[in-house]
Amino acid sequence: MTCERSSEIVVGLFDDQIGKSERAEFEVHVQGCADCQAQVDDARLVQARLIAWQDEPVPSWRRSAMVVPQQESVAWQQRLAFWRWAPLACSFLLAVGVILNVEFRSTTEGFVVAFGQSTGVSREEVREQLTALATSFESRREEESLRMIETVLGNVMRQYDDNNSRNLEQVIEYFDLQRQQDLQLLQSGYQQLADSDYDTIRSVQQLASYVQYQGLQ
Amino acid sequence: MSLKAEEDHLVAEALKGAPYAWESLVRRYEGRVYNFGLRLTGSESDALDLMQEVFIGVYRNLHRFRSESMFSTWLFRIAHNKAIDLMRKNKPHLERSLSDMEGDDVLPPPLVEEEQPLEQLISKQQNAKIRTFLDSLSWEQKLLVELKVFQSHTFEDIAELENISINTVKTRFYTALRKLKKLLESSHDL
Repeated sequence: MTCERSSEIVVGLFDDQIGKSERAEFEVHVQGCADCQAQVDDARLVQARLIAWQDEPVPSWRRSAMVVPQQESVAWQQRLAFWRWAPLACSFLLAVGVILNVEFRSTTEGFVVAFGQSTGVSREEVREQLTALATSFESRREEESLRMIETVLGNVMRQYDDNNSRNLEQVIEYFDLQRQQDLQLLQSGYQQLADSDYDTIRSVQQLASYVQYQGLQ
Repeated sequence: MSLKAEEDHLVAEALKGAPYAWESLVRRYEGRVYNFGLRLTGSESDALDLMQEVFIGVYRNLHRFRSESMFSTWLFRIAHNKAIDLMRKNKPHLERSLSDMEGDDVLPPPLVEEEQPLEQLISKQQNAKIRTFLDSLSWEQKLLVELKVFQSHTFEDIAELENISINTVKTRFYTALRKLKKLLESSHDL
């Protein structure tokens, strides 16, 4: 005859979490139940048979084999992890630079980093530099103009008056004379061009007549 | 210093990269893990592979160990998972389901004796018999007996580890004990 509580009783023997009273109740039941007694004895024998296991020595193996590769991989992961954030860090720095209006300038005194809005001094400096450049340019142009006028006047004076009695009327007369000569040269040039064109037309007409004459014959 | 405090210290040192701390932890548990693998797989080479896998897993996850639990409990949780991985993925031929085991009372052939020192030979023969008995169980039953009898886990711990109910654990354990008793009787070893 099999007791219905056999499994509960046998498993209860291996359960470390059952209370003292429950264990005592199991023991009382086992003493009065031959089937449970037999099963408990069998279970204890099986347990004794199993725990007779003698731990076998571990074959030799490299205990730290996994240590070195992992340290290397961790190091690589750390390096990669650092570079993974590099673009974000650059973007952040750029954004901060834009927000704070950071300005990098290279001046004659060296490299200058400025924060906030551009200072009035720098703009003033730029304006001064531009003004100085413009002034220098203008003065150079004036000097060149004066030199040219002096050269022209010198030539005029040498041609028309080597004496000390130089006057403006003579200069004007010289310029007027030069202008008239230029006009004459221009007119003669046009005339030559017109004559040349006329000769060309006449040559073409002669050629046409000749061709017509040849055609009639 | 208590065992737990000592092990927590070794774990902290191993995390800092101290080789002696890691080796000390390995030496403490390699025997238990190797024999755990030996009983489960029934093969020395598989047991060695499993042990190495377990310690690789432990080392890689050492930073996740929380000192609220015992190091041994945490380590054997990894060992349990690695054993399941080994049996189900790498060694499918070693796994025997419960359905395969029905009515299977035939003992495997005895192991061939090798030339070894007498004590070691006796010990090996004894272990070989136990392995033979264990090998006749299904994988689920074998793991259950291992956790309960050899690792002294509570039924509650096993249920959590196996992700099954406590009643299922108790039923499977009872069935496994009955089967082992039957096999011992048939081999006249009781």
